[in-house]
Amino acid sequence: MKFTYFHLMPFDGLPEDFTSKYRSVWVDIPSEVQDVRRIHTLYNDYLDELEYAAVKGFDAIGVNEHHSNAYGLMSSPNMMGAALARRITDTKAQLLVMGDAVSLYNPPIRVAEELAMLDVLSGGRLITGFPLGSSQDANFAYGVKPATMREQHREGFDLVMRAWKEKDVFSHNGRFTKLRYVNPWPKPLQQPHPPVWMPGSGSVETMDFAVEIDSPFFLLSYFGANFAEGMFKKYWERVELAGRDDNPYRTGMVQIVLVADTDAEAKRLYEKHVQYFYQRCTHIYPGFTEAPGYKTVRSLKEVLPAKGSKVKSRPDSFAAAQKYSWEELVEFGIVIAGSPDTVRERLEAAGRKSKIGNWVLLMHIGSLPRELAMYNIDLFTEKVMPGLTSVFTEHPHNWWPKPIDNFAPSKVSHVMRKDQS
Amino acid sequence: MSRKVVPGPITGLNFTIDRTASRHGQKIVWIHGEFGEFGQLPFDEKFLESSDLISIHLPGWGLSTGIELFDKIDELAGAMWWAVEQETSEPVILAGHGLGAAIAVEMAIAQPRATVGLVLSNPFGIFNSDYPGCDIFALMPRDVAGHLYFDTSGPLYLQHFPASDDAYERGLISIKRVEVLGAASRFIFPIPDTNIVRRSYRLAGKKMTILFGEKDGAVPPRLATDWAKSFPQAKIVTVQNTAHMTPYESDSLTDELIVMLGDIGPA
Repeated sequence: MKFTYFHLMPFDGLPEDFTSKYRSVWVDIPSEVQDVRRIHTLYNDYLDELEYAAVKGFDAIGVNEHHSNAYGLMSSPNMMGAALARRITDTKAQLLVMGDAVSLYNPPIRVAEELAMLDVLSGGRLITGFPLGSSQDANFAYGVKPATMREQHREGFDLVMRAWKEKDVFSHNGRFTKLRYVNPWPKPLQQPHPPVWMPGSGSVETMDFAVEIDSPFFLLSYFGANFAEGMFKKYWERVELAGRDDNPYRTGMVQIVLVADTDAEAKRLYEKHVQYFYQRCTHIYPGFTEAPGYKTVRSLKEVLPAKGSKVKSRPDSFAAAQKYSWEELVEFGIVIAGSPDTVRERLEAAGRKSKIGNWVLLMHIGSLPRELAMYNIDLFTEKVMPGLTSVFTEHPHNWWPKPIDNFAPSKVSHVMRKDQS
Repeated sequence: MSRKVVPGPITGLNFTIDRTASRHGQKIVWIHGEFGEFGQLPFDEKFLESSDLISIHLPGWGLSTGIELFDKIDELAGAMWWAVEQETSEPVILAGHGLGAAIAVEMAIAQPRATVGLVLSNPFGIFNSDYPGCDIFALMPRDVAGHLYFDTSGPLYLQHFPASDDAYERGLISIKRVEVLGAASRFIFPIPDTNIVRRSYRLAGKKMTILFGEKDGAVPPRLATDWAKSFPQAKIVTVQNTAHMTPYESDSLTDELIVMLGDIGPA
């Protein structure tokens, strides 16, 4: 198994009455809730956590992209990736940017350029992810038309790939982008391109796309592997149908993981921060989560309840999770929390059941303070991870950065200041 | 009323066209709104019996197909003219509701000589950020209803959006909403401004009647001022006791079409 320390970089200052006073944490959240001075501290704390996770032995550290919200303050994952790239050169950690929603960039060649810069800067440690982008971000914050964004995403993705691989200057005459000269400088250090992971929230189109391009499918869910079993079953059926192997590194999943000395201690330490996340950070006006056309009719029909069903809302939804107690969150596997043994057993069981080789772990959640995040990293890397790294080692990880021929990374050293000896 | 399906000029494009039995008098082309046609034409029976009305179902709203071929409203307008030409080569009155009205304007801009006049109800196409109207793409059905219907507990609303205890049925209604608004998003998302203002000169002097709903939250009646600036010849009518569903909530659309037919005289 491979482990990525992933960060949302949430704003931790949402008031207690946030959900009753404001419509949504995303898209139209008013600036009066912001505390930019606090955000300065948070950015630096969060970058420290990521750097620390790299030092402590995580396989990768990960950043992502969201807009107009207090749920995640990273509107530019590439900028955060750049801040980290020079700080992890003395570790073995790779840099996961998951990722850049290409349809938000016009022209998308900007994504090819910035990711290539990151790959070169980091010495070929980059892993890329190309999410479609959430509806809140893509449709409502960036104005991308929901009905055509999948085509736009596909065109942008293909353009980025070609820009990385093609030796010569070429022209791109697409439906959404027209460029007479495509010629990004530099190309990525990893050739033909850095590993590509394909994140999705469950649409069948994204799964099919991942299978088609032979890229790992990453389930971006906040409801744990138990609820995702059906989704992974569908995915593996598609993999088999396409004649591909069942290598567990073809899958990944986001999972909240919180470790303490005991299960009871985990509740004492983390409960209020998890509740902050599920009650305030995910308080999203439902109309912003799926603009009409964002999901295809085909995908929506896949999740239609049975005829005659009286179900009001899904148990794996933010609306439901808002009301769950700590015990329910843990019991349902939405949060994997507890002693090192508990966490290790649950991760291994979930990983083996759905063949999940890559875990993208959210170990900072909600309003978790810096010292608790560091403590969580310590316990996980010292007492959980060592018991799991041997799982699935019989399978090659075909989507991981590989050593580059004839390349020795530069030594990064801090530039001395005048007043330093 | 007869219905036919006409294979379009491009693979995947098929038009469903309804037409009244009468083949006399001025031809009227009707284009439904962004929420679809609701299985009914918003005209009274007597009017339909005596008029030559051609109702063209927009591709992507359930009957006609091929919406994926169009990214821009002028591209769709071109295809709509092709559909009209399958029925008649005579100049027509273009009438539409909401997005359908914006498409009617686009068609008229493309072919002003083939357009006798326009009757637009609750038209999208001009936007003013001082009174933007509600975001029909963001608002949940329960929240948008009051912007669209004058009476959200009345029979019209329940007919258009039937309630159900069955989660499956509710799912189908939700999917239908996604289908029609998803199609509409191609042309009026994120802002329903189709640059009509910059091309309004194409319709200088053209007969035009524009209806606004007194309580329309999607196309605020204050936009009448903006439309009047671009189309000073337009007759503006604000219809009381209606919201965005003015054609279904009142007889005013029929009434205004009759007035225009009278103004024009025999075809």
